Amino acid sequence: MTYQHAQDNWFAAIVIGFITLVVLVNILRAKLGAQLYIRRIPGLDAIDEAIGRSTELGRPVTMIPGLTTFGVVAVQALTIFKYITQQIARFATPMRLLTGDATVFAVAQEAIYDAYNEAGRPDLYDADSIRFLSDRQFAFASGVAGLIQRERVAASFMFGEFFAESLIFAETGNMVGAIQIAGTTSFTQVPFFVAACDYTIIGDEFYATSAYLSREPVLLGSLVGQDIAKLLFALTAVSGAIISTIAGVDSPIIKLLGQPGGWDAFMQWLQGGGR
Amino acid sequence: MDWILQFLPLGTERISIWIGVLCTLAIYSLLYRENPIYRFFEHMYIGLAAGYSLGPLFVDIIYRYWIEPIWVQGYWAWAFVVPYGMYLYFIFSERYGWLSRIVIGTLIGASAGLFFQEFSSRYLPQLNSTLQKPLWVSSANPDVTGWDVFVNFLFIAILLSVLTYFTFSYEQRGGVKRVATVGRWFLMIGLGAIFGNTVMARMALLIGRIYYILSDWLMLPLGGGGG
Repeated sequence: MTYQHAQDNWFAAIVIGFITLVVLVNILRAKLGAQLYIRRIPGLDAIDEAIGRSTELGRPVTMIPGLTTFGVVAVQALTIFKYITQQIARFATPMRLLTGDATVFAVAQEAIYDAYNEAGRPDLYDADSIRFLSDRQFAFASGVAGLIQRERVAASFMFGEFFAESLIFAETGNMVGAIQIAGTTSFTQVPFFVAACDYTIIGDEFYATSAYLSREPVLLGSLVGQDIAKLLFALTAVSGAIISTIAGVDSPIIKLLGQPGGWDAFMQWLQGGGR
Repeated sequence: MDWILQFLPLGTERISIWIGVLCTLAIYSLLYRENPIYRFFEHMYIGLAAGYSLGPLFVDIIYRYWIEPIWVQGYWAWAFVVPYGMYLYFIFSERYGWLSRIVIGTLIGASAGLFFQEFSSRYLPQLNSTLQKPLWVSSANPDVTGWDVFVNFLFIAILLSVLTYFTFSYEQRGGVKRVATVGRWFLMIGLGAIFGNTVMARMALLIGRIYYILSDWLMLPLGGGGG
């Protein structure tokens, strides 16, 4: 029971169109200079704290986007890593960015170079500090664990999509006493980061973090648009539950609100005079 | 004497078990501290993984999505795909680096476009399941029990409070903050359950490795099967 095309349920297409419109309007507002508010997430303060600590100790910072393949999550993760790089560039703190995806590796090189440039320290950019280790999950994990131990990193930032290797990274960081801040959209890995890291950014907070740090109109507008979409979903959930209580869970309105073929069933119901 | 002869790496099967145990112990040695043995096996693992990746890369991607469509199915237009993708390698050239951005732009665009479809197929069925939660016993839903009603109310309460926690475009204070805090607690309870469940799966993996060492390598009569 999945959607492949808009005609599977036109109502779903309309909902997606509406959310897209809301996001676009808010991006436009942000671009026109509207001050969109994003609340500060507690884990963000820890980023500066971790950078400060690694500077004091003179030990490197690691940034790990995990096995994230190139896409929306990777771009958001690199936005956060750019911010961190700009901060560490001020103190010339060494960094390592370790990735398991070749495309992310290529884009990360550009992003980190830009970050050093924007911080006014292009001389600090070292292409060797951005490393592709392996696209095989546990080979990548062993590489990261070895590097964290060898270089005794002072701070470890893990942002992106993670799988079973998440705890290996977090525990290894713990063993060398690194301050660890993690944020992931992989919900099943959040508990491991909560258990082993100093600060964890959960689920959607990940997107809010990159918007807050970068103040990019596109990210800010998207986040505000998503909040409106969440409000819409909350209202739909509550009103849908009430309708399904009164009219039954198989009523055409319930089918309309999210089942493939629901639009046609609803139209037939309407043409039949609501019977 | 027989045990020693069986234990020694004489024969291909015993050699492979010895290598497996050696790799296991070398990787586990990191738990004590980073050391040259771990480093050697780490680098060997990464090297093997890189070599191993070449096989699936050719069979599952280059052959299946490029060679086969062109040569077997006759879709000649696919011939342009790999040269286009190889533009990404221009990232290593200072002069032609801009060409790689065309490919990167395509990837970002495709990723964003696919996300629309993913949104429909992943989240809308969830939304529809959310709607099918009768909040009291009525003639329209004769099979709903009092327990179902309690569970449905709890579900809606958790959904709304967690959703409140994940809103960012306003300052959470007063009643909203309290609802968000309740949502956070619900979230932590859910995460705890996931944690416990996964730790059990990890323990099964550890037991499997220990079984391999004790039974397959040391040939201790443990009985049963490894994980």
